[in-house]
Amino acid sequence: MGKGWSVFFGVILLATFLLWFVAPFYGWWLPNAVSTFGPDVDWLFYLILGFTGFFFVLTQVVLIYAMWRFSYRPGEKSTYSHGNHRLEMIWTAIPAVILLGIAIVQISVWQDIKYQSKMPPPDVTVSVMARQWEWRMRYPLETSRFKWDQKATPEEVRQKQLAARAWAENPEIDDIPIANEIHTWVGASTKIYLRTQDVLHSFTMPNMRIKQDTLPGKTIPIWFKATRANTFFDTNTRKLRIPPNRADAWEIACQELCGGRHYAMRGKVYVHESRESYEGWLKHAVEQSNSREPEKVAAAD
Amino acid sequence: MSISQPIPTHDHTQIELGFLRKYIFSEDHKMIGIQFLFSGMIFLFLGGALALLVRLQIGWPYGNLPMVGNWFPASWGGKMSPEFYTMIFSMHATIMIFFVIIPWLTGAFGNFLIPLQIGARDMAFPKLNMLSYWVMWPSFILMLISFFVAGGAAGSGWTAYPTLSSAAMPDGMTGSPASPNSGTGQVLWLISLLFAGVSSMMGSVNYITTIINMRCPGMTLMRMPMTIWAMFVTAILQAMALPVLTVAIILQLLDKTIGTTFFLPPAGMAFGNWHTGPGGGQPLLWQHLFWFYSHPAVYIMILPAMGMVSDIISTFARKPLFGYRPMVYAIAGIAGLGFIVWGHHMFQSGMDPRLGTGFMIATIMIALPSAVKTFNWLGTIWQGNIQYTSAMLNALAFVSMFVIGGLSGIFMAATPVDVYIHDTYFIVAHIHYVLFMSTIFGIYAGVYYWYPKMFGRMMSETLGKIHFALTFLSANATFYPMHIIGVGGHPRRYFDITIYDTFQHLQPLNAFMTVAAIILGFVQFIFVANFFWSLFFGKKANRNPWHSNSLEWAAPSPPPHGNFEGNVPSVYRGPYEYGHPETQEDYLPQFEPNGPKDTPGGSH
Amino acid sequence: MTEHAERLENHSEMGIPLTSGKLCMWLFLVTEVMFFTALIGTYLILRSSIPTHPIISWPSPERVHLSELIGAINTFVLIASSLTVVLAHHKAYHGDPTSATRYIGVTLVLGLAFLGIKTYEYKTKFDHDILPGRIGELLPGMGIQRERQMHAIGMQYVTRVRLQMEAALTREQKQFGYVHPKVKEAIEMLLVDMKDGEAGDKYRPPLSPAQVGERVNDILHIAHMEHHEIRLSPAIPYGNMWASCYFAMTGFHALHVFGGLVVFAILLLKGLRGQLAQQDVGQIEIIGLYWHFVDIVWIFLFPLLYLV
Ligand code: HEA
Ligand code: HEA
Ligand code: CUA
Ligand SMILES: [Cu+2]
Repeated sequence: MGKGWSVFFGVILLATFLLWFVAPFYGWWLPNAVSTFGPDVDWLFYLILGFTGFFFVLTQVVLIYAMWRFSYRPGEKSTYSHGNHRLEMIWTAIPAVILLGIAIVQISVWQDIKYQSKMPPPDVTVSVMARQWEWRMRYPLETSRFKWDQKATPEEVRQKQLAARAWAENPEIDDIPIANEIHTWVGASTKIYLRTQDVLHSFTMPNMRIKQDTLPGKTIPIWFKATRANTFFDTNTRKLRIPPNRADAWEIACQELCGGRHYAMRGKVYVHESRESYEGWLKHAVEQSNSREPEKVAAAD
Repeated sequence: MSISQPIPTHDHTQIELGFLRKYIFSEDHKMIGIQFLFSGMIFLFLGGALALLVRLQIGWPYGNLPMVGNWFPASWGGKMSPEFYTMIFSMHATIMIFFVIIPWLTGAFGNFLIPLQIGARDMAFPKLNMLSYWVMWPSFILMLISFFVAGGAAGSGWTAYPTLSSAAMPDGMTGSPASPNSGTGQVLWLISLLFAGVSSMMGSVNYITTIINMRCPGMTLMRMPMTIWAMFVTAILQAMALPVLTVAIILQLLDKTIGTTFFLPPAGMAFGNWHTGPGGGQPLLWQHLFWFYSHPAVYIMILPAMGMVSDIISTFARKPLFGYRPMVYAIAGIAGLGFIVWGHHMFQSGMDPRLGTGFMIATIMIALPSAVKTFNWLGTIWQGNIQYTSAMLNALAFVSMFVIGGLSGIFMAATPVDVYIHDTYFIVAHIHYVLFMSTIFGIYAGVYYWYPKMFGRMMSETLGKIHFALTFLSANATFYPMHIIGVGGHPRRYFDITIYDTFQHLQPLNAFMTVAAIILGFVQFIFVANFFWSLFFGKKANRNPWHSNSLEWAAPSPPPHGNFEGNVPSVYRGPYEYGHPETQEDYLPQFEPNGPKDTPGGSH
Repeated sequence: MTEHAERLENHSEMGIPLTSGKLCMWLFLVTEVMFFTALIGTYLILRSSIPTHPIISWPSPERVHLSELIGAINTFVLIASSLTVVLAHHKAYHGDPTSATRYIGVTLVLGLAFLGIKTYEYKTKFDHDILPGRIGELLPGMGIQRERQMHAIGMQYVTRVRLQMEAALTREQKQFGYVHPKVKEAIEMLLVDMKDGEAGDKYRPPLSPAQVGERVNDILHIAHMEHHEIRLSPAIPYGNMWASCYFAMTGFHALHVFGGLVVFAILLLKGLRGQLAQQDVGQIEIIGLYWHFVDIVWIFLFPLLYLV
């Protein structure tokens, strides 16, 4: 087949390349980003996509061209060469610079997402206890109990953080237990303390671009700030508005294998339009939980 | 200086070994290599069949499975259960990695090629070599038995993270509270891998000794073919990394059976060791130990293929390998960096995020030696005279596919992007591009290339090319869309995504990939047919059918016991003298005393 | 065939100036170094993550009946045996197989002594039931054998302290006519709590062994404050973790010692039969390397387990 193989490689690789351009039109793409991490993470994703895409095209085109141009010519000899020192230097140095650059630009976003020291004062604090196979959330009665001021002294911040963690680890009688639902409002910085009661799980909110494994015996805080709302609490009908379309139905998925029903550890994320809506919902939830038996509340943990 | 081991021919050819000694308990490195090749092939099909089951479930969740449905208990109604699903993908990966790729690369090709390519008559320790194959059998058997024990085979992924895998089994029980598959099945899994580890360890010590001490006259380090360099570095990786896995496995075994708490969290957790007071164990510790082995292991699973591909590409491009020395340094660089990047599997695990930053930088820098390798392969075919044999096509596919698999690694190495990408199908795409599309293509290339040497007959080129074309096509169709659904957020290890609003629209791609995977699976029968048909009816091969330069082609095909007739050959130059302007032929074997001497092995 | 193998063994002049056997041993030791590094690393990580609370902390040697003196003696024994291996090789090298044999014998005896002392040390742990999967220690004079047959891991502790507490309330009451009222009350409360099933109007799960252990330690504390002697098995905080590490580390070390001794036994037999030939010198050197390694591992284990 000779040069035909070059075409064969070319066609298939071109198809794979084009898939990246076709996919978004079918909606096979990053789900809507609705947290402050969204733009950062997505930008880095596109950055890497750009560089890797460039090197993909470069290497494959060279490969396919060489397969075409230098296919077998009986009786001829190839060009006798053991390499080229200059070339070697060039193609080590350029990628080195690019790679180092790629690495360095990641650092600050990573710090924003995961470093505990960089987490801003929370507006909402939630404690999540994972177990096979559900998420059990607890909300403190007073939303702003663990809130601190931007200008608070480090010691005050530390005290509040310790208090929040202590609360996350020890349920109080007036906590509001909810299963599989995260509630917050637009622009609220939400802090979630993750724990697990049995095996590893991974608390993932694809739309928020956040993911964190839970570890038995550890309490791990994460945070996010939603930039869009998908619900509000109607105080008259006492109902949450259900997000009307699929793109606004933001979910929690478990992304660390945790047994048979790992795939079914589904939760929902409700971002209220305003703090009032959230507080309204919270009040409603309190009433609901008060109508339940007290020991069930305690057992929720 | 030339004649060092004057062993008369009759010593070898006239020793009549019984069937058992010759084919079963053979101490001959070539036979052991072939044994590894055959057992690997059997397990490829088992692992492949499991993969197809996985795909059937994901393609059509809860579907009534045709045929296979009948094997399930009546109570499942012809459908798969979620636990069964976790079991089959765990076993799929375990079998593919520990029973196919590693035994094929180091066991089959390592054994067959090392003595031949360095001009030795056998391994340094033939008995140890035989043992290293036979320790695999308890491993194989235990793993197979584990499918039939109560609760089924292991089902916590090939990574077996505690506490899902390791929750202690209460006395007298075969199951674990965490998962039905974490009972006896998991124990057998652990013991089985312990044996596999011992086998690899024996192999690696033997390979290193052989390569260091048994090279024939003139075979300096810088005249060794890339395959040997790769095998050498791989063996070092194994020797250094495997003991850590061994420790991890032993500790998990103890946790499961006698009540230690190495990986079990403090008491009071549901699956912590409830009985033993403040436990103080750490689930995360397993991940560190596991990946300390398993990250170097992914390079164990590709370096030998890189080595073989370098040889094959140079041979069929009829051109010296571009940049021999940089290629050697790159292998060493990959191996060295490979030891300090294990944390990139644990970015989201709850490890201190500050460590994440360090691991990220090291991981991204690993692309550098990989880039050097890629560009040098391209440099090798550039201005070459490329013969499109089956072996060459598979080798070129290796280069092309490795770039795809490697580039997707950069996304995951970048910590913020990994927050989103981690444990999605993007990772599954990466795994299969590097492991299936690179390593298996490399292995196929190796089989087509060295088959004449192994069995004295040629494989059918026509069937070989059909097999290659269909595999390349269907494999890309199977695995490439995984990148896309990964970007869409499709989580891995999911039994069914259709219950999620966020992911359900990806389902049509899943069905498409399943169809492609089924085609891919069945295309492999062409390879098997070709392999066995050629064993009996293939064209007889001469000594050097591809006009190659390295030492194995100095031996008859197939080589007799002791490999070389008369004295072991002496080596006069590097292994890549193709298209030398001063010679008549376009190749100049290493063992050819006449002709231009001491041509350089490296660049400059 | 052996001659054939001999020749294959002969490395070509391209190799390094080491016999393949010795090179192989060095490589094997590299894998062993990694093995013990992983094991010791595990221990250090686990241990450093445990709180340094005055009561709930890593158990001190006394707490788990570990004698530094015995450990030190064992260290000495092992170092001595390393020396005798060197002497054996020296003698064999200079063509004195009789002395070599004698030194091999001494090494074997020292190695056995090491294992013997280790066995004694293990026995003290067994006697106090300080084993992986256990909690608390057994008081002297109580048969563990029967208990083990009857009860599942961990639960035996619960049963044991229940028996001890019941005995304290009845037999000791009879014998000494007195149990301090505070202690008595605490014991009675614990006995009630240990019963599962109905308590009041709700179902209550039984206490876990770990919880029982905590309560037992409380009772002991009360008794101590009241200067009242009570025979109850205390729970050792992190005792299980300690036992896990101790047995894993020393156990694997002991296995290595045992492996070495097997080789020494074979060499000794050869020597006694007068078959120790020139080619065995290499063998002795190789096993010597291994033996020194085993020795070094112990030199790390000893301070880490006994002293730190
Ligand atoms: C043979 C096997 C193999 C190989 C070679 C690799 C190679 C690489 N891998 Fe991969 N990896 C696996 C097998 C392998 N991996 C497996 C099995 C898993 C999943 C385990 C599990 O969880 O089950 C995994 C998971 C995995 C993760 C964890 C993801 C997660 O779970 O979140 C990461 C993260 O960093 C990673 C990164 C890399 C990188 C950076 C490389 C690099 O070595 C790649 C370098 C190569 C190139 C980059 C291409 C060539 C270079 C150029 C063309 C130059 C120009 C390029 C640039 C300038 C960008 N891999
Ligand atoms: C070398 C390694 C290797 C190889 C070759 C393969 C090959 C294949 N793999 Fe696998 N895979 C892994 C390593 C490998 N995989 C790993 C490490 C994981 C991660 C597991 C984890 O999460 O723990 C994984 C996970 C994994 C998943 C993700 C599961 C999940 O997360 O839910 C999927 C899904 O599509 C998959 C599919 C396939 C397919 C279709 C093939 C095909 O290439 C297979 C093609 C088939 C053959 C080559 C053989 C031919 C066989 C037949 C024709 C069978 C016919 C027989 C009968 C019908 C009896 N693999
Ligand atoms: Cu919980 Cu997966
Ligand atoms: Cu890795």
